[in-house]
Amino acid sequence: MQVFLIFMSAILVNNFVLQRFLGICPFLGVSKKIDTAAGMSLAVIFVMVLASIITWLLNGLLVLMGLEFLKTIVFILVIASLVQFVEIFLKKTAPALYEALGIFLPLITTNCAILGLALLNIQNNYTLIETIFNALGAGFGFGLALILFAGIREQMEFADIPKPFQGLAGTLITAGILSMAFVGFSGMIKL
Amino acid sequence: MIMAKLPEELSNGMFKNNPIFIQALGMCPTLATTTSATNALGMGMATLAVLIMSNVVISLIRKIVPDKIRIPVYVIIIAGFVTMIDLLMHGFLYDLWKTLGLFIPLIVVNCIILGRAEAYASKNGVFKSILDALGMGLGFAGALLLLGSVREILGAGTWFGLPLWGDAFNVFIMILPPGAFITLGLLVAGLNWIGISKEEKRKQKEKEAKAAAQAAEKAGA
Amino acid sequence: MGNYLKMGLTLMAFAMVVAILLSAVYTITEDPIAQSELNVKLKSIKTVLTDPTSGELLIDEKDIPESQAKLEGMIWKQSDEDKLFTSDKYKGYCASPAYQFTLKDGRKAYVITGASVGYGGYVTIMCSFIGDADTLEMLRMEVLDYSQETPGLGAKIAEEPMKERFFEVPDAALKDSLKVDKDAGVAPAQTDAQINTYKDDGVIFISDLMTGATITPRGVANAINGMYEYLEQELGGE
Repeated sequence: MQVFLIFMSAILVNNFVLQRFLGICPFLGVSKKIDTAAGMSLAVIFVMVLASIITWLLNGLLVLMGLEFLKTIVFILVIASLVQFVEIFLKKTAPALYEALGIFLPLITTNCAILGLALLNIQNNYTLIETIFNALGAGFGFGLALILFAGIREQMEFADIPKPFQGLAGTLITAGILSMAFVGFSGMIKL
Repeated sequence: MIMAKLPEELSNGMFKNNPIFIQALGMCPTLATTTSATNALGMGMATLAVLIMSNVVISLIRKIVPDKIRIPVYVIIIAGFVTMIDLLMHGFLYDLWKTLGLFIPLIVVNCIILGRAEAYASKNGVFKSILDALGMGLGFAGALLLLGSVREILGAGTWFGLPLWGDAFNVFIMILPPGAFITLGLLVAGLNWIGISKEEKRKQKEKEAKAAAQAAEKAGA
Repeated sequence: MGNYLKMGLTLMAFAMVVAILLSAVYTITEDPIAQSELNVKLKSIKTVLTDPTSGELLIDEKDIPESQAKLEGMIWKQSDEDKLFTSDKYKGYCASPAYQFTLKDGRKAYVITGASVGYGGYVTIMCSFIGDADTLEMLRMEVLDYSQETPGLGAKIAEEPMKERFFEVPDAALKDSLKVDKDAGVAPAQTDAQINTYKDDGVIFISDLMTGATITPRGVANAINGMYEYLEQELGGE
């Protein structure tokens, strides 16, 4: 039951993008079209779950050796390597998606959501199962925010936006309104 | 104006190519740590420190790093400095460290640092790289401070913890996530508006100069 | 293959250099970090042993520990793991170790660190309980960690006026377990006197200070209840 709550909480109440502010760069950058957003989300979910498991295991090892302070370096290297593998994998199996994602695929490495997730799992002392569900929730939450936003932005293409608000400014304000909607989920889950 | 006197590397990062307002990099810490001016400044300074140190080292080793593995090497170096800053803050700046929490290690994935390493420090000498780091870092810190101040003043009626009008007027949502997005959006819009009106004034002047030149020609001919 | 190996080794070389430099920094900062953490703890202990009304320190100045060693001399109970006690009822725990101090007037004070579930995670607090098996008053509460709570909302729990609502809770109130007013379903208190009456009945009035953020104070109330549950078990009261 606890893991289900962790899962739901990561998607809605503590949405990684709109509440925790993790993963903003891809959120603003890859959300122009719904299908790119969906593709990115799948890649992120995959990397998140794998990275969470590997970093959780490695952290156990680091603690045993008293080398916890090397956590950040080890984690980011794991994530960077994982993303490399995903890139190679996608290039072979889904070249269209690989092309569509373009520069944003290697940028998953600098997606603070992944490193943030890995660090949070440790900070909250989650067990391996809890970690996996947290990762799934974080990924789905990220995907949810991304796809919702892409839907909005596709519509915004047709809107007549005043010049100062075109581009980054309008995107941010729209994100703010979407974030407001998610604030409404506060208190929904009593862990 | 001051801009004319500053070396180009500095003014580039601080104004023309401001990492947040123009390049839209490093968004995550921008939105997350600007709940107050103090937090914003702390975050800005920590990032500046890492930026300078990593730019220096990467510039120093730029000729001996094999091209194919340069990105992982940069990442290791940046992560090393971030961990150093984390440890130092834990030991000497405990309160700030506690407040900034998760976002200190997250400096590692701040696209600005890797971005400058790749775009500048790997191709330029140490002194210039320091200036570039200073420019970008100060630009980042400045933007953070601006956002943090606006959010704190409107949201809590204080600035750097000093009460301005206290609880008398609180736009509460400022401190919450939506407030971050919207405030930054409005700031960017504001800067855009200034940029646009400057551009229009310039075009207007050009038009007038052209018209005056044409009139002068006609009169002369 | 040879090329990849060479690159891998170069990468490892860089990693080793960085790791060694970091270890140096780590050894240098190890002591300051331990000292910082200790200072925070000592400051909190001193605060919870200060009378909220008179501002007077209830314990002799010379009995206040200043070092880790001295602090360990005041340990009352500890366990091999982090936690002394887990409360399923109040979804929280008491952390190890718990301390016992002797006050100026001879009474015993128990300083316990505990937590319960708040909004995004645990809210950790430190409380001082004064008395014995028959009567145990909770004198003062200090919030240690509320980093998982929402800034501006749940984070208000760390502000003085909010903390004060949890000060000086009498034994009778603790016996029936504390509740926040929203959970007890009582009407909002209109006067300070009413706030105190509520407190005597085990109801902490918080909705005026923390509108729309009941979860965090509920967590604090539960943490206190968990601590009281533990103390009853250890001291064997009624």
